[in-house]
Amino acid sequence: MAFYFAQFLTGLASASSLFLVAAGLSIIFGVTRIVNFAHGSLFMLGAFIAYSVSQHTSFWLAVTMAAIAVGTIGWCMERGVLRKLYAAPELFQLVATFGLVLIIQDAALWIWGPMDLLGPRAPGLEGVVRIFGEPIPEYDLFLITIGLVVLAATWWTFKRTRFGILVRAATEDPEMLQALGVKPSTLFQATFFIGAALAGLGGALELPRQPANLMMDLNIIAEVFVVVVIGGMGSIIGAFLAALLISQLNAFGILIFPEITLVAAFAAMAVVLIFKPYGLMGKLSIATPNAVEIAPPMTFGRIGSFAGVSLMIVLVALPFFAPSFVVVLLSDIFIFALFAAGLHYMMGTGGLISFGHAAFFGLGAYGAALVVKGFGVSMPMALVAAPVLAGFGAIIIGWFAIRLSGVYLAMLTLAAAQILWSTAIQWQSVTGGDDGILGIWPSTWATDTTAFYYLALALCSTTICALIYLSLGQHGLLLRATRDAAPRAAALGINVKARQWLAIIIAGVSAGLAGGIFVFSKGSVFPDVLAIPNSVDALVMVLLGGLHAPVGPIIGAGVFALLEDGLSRLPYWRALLGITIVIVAIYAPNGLAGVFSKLRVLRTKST
Amino acid sequence: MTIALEVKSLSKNFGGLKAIDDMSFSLDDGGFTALIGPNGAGKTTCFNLLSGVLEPSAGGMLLHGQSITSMPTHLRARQGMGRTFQIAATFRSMTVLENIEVALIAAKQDKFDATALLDELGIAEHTDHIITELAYGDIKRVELAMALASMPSVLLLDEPTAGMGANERLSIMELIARLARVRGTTVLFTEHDMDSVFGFAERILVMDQGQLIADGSPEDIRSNTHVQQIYLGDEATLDA
Repeated sequence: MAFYFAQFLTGLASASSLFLVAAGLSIIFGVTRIVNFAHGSLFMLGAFIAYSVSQHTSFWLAVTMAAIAVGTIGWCMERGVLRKLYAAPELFQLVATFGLVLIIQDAALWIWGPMDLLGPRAPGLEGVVRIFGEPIPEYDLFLITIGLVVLAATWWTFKRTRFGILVRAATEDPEMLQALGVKPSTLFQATFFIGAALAGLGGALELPRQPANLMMDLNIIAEVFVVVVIGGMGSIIGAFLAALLISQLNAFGILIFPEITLVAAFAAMAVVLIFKPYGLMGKLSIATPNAVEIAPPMTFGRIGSFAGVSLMIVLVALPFFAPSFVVVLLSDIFIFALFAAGLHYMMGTGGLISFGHAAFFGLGAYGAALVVKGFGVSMPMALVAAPVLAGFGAIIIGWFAIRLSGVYLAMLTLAAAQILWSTAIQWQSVTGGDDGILGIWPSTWATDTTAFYYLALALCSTTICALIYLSLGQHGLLLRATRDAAPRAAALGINVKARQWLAIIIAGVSAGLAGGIFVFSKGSVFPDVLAIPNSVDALVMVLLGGLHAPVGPIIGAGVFALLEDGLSRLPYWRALLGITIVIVAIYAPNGLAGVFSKLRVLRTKST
Repeated sequence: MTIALEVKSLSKNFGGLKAIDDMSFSLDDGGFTALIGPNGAGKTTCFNLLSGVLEPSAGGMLLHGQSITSMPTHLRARQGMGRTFQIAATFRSMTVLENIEVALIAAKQDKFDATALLDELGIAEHTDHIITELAYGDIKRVELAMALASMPSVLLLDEPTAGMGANERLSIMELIARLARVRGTTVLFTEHDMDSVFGFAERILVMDQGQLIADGSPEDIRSNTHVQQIYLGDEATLDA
């Protein structure tokens, strides 16, 4: 009994830092309607800054300074990037904050290096207290207190102070507030400072429990998303309850199934979403902005068809004169174009934001590898199994996803992919863990580079053409109807949820096939294929090519692969990618296709 | 005369507010009925309950004798219930014709003459224009065209002529009334413009504070003292 109580207290202590980050995210969302993906990065910065400061002064001063410094960084983020995006569709807001994640990650690597940094113990709280005979770290009790204090303080601030009342008013009706003469920009800046400072405080307070490290940002953000989805976006009490729930699930789950603690969190989220689609304390927000910009598909008419046919002829002829490294690079580009094309279909045509598209790619990759290793099937069979398994994954993830929209959808997909990723790492007996699965080679007829090139070209181009055909045809028209005006579509007799679910399944199947081909091109599979950077790559390709151009994923994958080939050897390539994302989100929301089409319009006008 | 739509003790609460309070009425097949009442009376909430956008707190409704109380919107539409929204909802990434096409595909109508309908509504010249290039009055017309194209048996119109000039209102209302008569469509419409209400409705339902307070022919309603009180004795509006 005493042991379980001790475990319960450990859970409460972990809940505190989770709550601090979730509360900050929630407050920022409430006022600005932006889900800050970089909130986990602020948490990580809190830990690193506290580490550095604590080398020169007392721990407690370091914690305070870290919170203030991170608050200031949050304020700079708002001024420098996010304020340009308040009127933009949700997708670009999310993508820009994701760009910041990449930038902050490389900045932290540059400043603090790749090593874990072990911080000091908290002075005065190094000991343990015996409760029912079990040793409880004093620091854990302190963290529990801090969580309650912050809960009480935020509650008091929101109920009793002018700032809190304005924040609540802004959450309810931002336009009304402006009409009453409150300058929103001041409020937004203050909110960003406070929200970021809470994350920084959470990170700094983690220092005595775990070393500062570069994995902290994405680890916590996935959990925080689960917390805010369960608790209800914009609700502090909800965030607190959900942080408690998740931390207790972790604390006790680790006793029963040490491998699958994140899976338990996901299951909890699933149960909550079935009964309370907006979370425990969340409300349906009336004015949800558009997830993506509503625009007609960008096609290029006869020039486009001509370019497409010429490209195909060049690609078919290419192995006869191109060096083999080009052939290999192009095979990879085909795979990534297909990966991106599925995402483009659900996100561009369907308006369904996904930050976890790697889930389907990875399911396809592991699916193919596992049937080869487990059942000894040949490559063609494995290439059937890959999209089938990914399709099943899409049926399950999609079932939850269609209950949500916009930012919730983005958070759910990211959390789902993150959970599959950790499953791939932890379920060693099946997936091989970090060592991956090796020796997955193509059938003998396809081992040759050129033969594999034609295989990849045939499969990818056929599927991509099918996706383009779908999105420009009747199917795409109905899907766009659900994106443009869901109530209108439903009132005409369109089953909106079923259409969206189908779009997610189509996207999942395409990504799964891409994942399957990928395994045979590399001969192995590692958990990386499921990780967040892989999802981000797909997003970047789609946005770079152009969200509304059916050929966008092809352009995007091509340009991205060339960039990666040229730049990924640079030490801070991820930060460059992050900067690119931020610039595209702010200045070129229609990607390269948008730039082409603008140039074309200019040229037509000048002649 | 058979009943197209029957509403039984319908109620909807938003927290403590009774937006719709125990409302009952039925619409005869082929009738042309107006639903009026001051702002906030609950007209749009009533429409949202009928079309399935909102779930009722109590009570229910039958469409052609079949209960639709717990049926999702899209299935109600497939059973013949069409509607327009107070703020016109259209597919903004599409051309006018594509908007109509979506309605036709959804309703599985393949022999419908979309061009003729657009012509009648006076928006034929915009057929290939993207919705965002149109004026609001024309967008209202496109939405109406979508609702008409799906050939509903019961059509709910939420302020069909809002944002239009006096002459336009008259011609649109005439068109709706004529098409409804020809097709035998049952129409329920809300409108603030009393000319449209008294000029076209065969029957008028009056709501106030979530309740149905009067139900009768235009003459009955015009002489109803309770209704006059609610409109603050603004007889000029009612007589106009």
